[in-house]
Amino acid sequence: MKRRICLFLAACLLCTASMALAAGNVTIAVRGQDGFDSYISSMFVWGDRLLMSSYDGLYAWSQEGGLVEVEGYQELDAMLTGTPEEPGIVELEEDQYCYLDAQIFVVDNRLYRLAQISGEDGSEQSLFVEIVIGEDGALSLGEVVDMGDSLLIDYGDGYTGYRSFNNPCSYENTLYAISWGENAQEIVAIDMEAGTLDALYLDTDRDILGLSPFTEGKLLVIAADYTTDPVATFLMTYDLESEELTDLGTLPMKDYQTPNGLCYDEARGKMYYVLAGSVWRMDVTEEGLGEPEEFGDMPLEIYSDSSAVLMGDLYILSSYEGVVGRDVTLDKLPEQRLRVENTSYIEPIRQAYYAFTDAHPEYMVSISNGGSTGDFVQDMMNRSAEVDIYTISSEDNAFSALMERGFMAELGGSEKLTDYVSTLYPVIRSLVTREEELYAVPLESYASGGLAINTKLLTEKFGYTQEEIPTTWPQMFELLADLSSGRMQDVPEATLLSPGYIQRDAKQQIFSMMLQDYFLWLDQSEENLMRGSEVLMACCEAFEKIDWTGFGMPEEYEDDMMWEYQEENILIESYSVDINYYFSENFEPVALAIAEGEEPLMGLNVTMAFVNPFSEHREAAIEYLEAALDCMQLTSRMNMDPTLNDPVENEYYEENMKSIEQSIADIQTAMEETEDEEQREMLSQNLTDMQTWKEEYEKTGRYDVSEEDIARYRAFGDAFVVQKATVWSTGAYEQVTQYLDGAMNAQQLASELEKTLQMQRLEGI
Amino acid sequence: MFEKKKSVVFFLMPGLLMLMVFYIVPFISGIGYSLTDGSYKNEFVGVQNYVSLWQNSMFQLGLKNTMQLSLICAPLLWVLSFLLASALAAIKPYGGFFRSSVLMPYLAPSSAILLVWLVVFDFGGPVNRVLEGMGMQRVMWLTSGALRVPVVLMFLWKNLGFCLVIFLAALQAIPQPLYEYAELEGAGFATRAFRITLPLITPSAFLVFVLAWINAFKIFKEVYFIAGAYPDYSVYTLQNYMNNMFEKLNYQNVTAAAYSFGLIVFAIFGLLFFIQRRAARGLT
Repeated sequence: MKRRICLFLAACLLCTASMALAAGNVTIAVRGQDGFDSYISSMFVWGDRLLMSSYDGLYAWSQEGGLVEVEGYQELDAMLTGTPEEPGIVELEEDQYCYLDAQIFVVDNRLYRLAQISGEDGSEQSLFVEIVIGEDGALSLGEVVDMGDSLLIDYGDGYTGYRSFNNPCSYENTLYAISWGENAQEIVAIDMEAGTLDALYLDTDRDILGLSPFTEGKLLVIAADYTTDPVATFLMTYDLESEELTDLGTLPMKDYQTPNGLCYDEARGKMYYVLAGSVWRMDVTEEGLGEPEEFGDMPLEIYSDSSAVLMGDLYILSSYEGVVGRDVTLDKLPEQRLRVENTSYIEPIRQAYYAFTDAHPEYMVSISNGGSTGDFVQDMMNRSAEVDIYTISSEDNAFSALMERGFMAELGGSEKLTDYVSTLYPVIRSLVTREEELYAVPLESYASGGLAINTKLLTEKFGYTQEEIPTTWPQMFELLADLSSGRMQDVPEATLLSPGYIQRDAKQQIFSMMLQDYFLWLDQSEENLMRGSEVLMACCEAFEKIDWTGFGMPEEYEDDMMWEYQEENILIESYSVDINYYFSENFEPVALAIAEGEEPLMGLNVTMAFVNPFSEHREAAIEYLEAALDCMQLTSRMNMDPTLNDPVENEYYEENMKSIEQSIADIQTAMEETEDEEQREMLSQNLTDMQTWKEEYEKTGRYDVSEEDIARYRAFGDAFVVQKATVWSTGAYEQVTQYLDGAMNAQQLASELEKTLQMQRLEGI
Repeated sequence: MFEKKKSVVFFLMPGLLMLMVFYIVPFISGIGYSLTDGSYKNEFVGVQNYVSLWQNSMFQLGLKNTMQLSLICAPLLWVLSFLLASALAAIKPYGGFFRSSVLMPYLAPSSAILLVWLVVFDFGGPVNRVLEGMGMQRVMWLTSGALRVPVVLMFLWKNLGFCLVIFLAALQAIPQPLYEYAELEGAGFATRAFRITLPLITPSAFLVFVLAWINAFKIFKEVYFIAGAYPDYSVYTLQNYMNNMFEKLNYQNVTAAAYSFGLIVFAIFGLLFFIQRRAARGLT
């Protein structure tokens, strides 16, 4: 009996062990989770581990050991260029500086990292530096492959840039990668022995999107033909010896999304790729392609330089937001599927994937980013249950149509969502509720068309009084007219807008900002509509008094235009208003009223998510939205929730302060030690600069969002109105251009706009 | 001869199925669609969409303008193409060249043609300069109600060739001996025109008229390209209305407008057919 029990237990253990060995889907790293915050630029399998590199970190991952940071990666910079105590492997001239790139390339089982050397005289040099991993895991630098200036691209007119490499792979001692050349995307071959770079000859007009090693001496290439409608994507092989491309067949697409994350699995004769939030596998031989088969979901948007890799049964992908692996042997998808059309690219919707799938392994979540909201209404008309969650902006035509016709599921069953929405600004609340019922969850908002006036410059240098700072648009135009009539020359360093504007664009920019406020104001009441022309005419009358030649801006763009951004000399800045305030104390953010006696308005664009009322997974979809709520950044919530008023501390403040203090201490020590007077003087200047920087940082660096920022933002609270689709988006642009070009006078513009609005209203829009 | 053969049904089936799937079913479901409120509950609202549509002043304006434009354009096109076809039928040398020339605008894409017209009718363009030279005021052809003039001219210019070719074919198909006999019998030009030409080209003339009218109903692209979604009131057509409603995703309104208009067109062409049959009988 005992023997039988032992055998049974052994069998159980074997089963458990085999289950443990099975790869399964894994989330290797996600930015913002578990202290991980790196952008992985390259990854490769090294022994039994996956190594991932970023600019300042090297990580190792294995099923058993999990994710660990490899020590000694940051010290490689010092090994390269040396320290006062120890010389580096690269000797730099005095006027040269050098940095290591984030990517690691594997060529012939050796690891290389790219180093760029730049000189103040404009000289550029690239090196591939070998990274050696010792038996004890210690990192050091090995041989150097001098590429000279072959990685430099000359764009003409004195503009140059370094090549970047994505989807790298190698055969023997040659590295292959996709790289932007002077005119087009190329596949380049870098011979590590000879230190040369050659662009491969590609006999095609198609755009190269992806690359993977294929059978011996061949590359697998994804290419798209953007000249056709719809765009077509092809899989091809490239023979390295004969330099010939051969079509294997077309690949599926979704709308304008093309397959990416290409990886060929020679052992199974399959290729893996990502499309529309899912991972797919497909048989591939030199003769052609099999049928695509979905084998899992994929939360990452693949925009990384890194190639996808295969580690055992895991197909691993990385992007700027993390690294995940999908088990290629899975032959059954999870029982349930939640589909998300994240048209508005809402970040919390993407991040909620991890928490939701952890809590609900029975679900796979396919998130499709981008796309058109035009299909939403058609989906609803067809009572389609295909998509469970949609995201949309308040400025979208489809939003009003969907809300008014009840094509959004009630979310009132979720206490978490209703509690959250109940704290938001009333204008946002009323946008997503109807008859006390909640239908959508606002997840992001911003107010475009914000205006900041440099009051310090106006009062101290131009001599205006605080009372003369404009509060309405006609006043603003009067001020500009006054400035343009000669006062601008009193302060020659001052500029009207950020440097780089020419007269025509500045005129258009200022007028458009006024017009945006005008349309917002018109939308508020019937009475405003009746007075629309009169108010616009008054604004135009003031606007026409501005002499645009009086601001010292060029008439046309010139090739040799040089700008220097000096915030203190800029009179007006436009910006997207949110809780983070970007400008210095010199500036005062203002909301200008369209006329005397009118309230100023600030148009809020709100992006939200809602659940398809025909969804078969309504409860799960609501739970997903709750997870998205948890992923919202505090500052995003503060933008919409006036009850959140505690300053947000900068989590790096203490660390940065310590670093500044250490630098000050180092300079002081160096000053004490040096006997060279010239050196001492230079160090003394550095010390003064560093101390000034410390004082400045103490003042501005402690908070991400300070009390003042919050107060500034909350001051706009009463001015907030939700921005919806306006006449601006349906034809006013042409008329405004005609007005600004002088082809139409103010009277004609006003009557044209009034006519358009009138027609829209008569149509019942 | 096929009456008793069941295979007839079999052979007709694919065609009938296609007709059913792509025309009859969408047509009928479209009617059903226009009778609902288009909301989540998709409630049946009877003719409410039609009532509110017909009460909408912009729909009325669009319909009125479309009718007016078609009443101007269709007869004008008919008469002009008939006269030109008669003239071209008489021209022997270079006849082919002229026929091809008038057909060219029909083949060219509207957007390409439009650029030329925009230049010609610009405020500082050749037409206004000629007017000025004649001591008249310049006209805002493209941004005012005067847009009707270039729109009508563009329509004629574009469609003249096609109608002309149909007329020409009909005229050339009339046997010459008929005219010779008539002349021998002492028939004058009018008698020949009314007793020989017109009766023999009636089916083609009717076809030209129907096509001209259908094309006139479709005047929209030109107006839209020049003046956008909201042109001057006088050139706001029914298609402007439907297009704007479609942009705002108000599909119920679009379908109701389409069926309403379809009904009107059906009535008009029914009447035209009736007149044509009567006229043909009278003439023969």
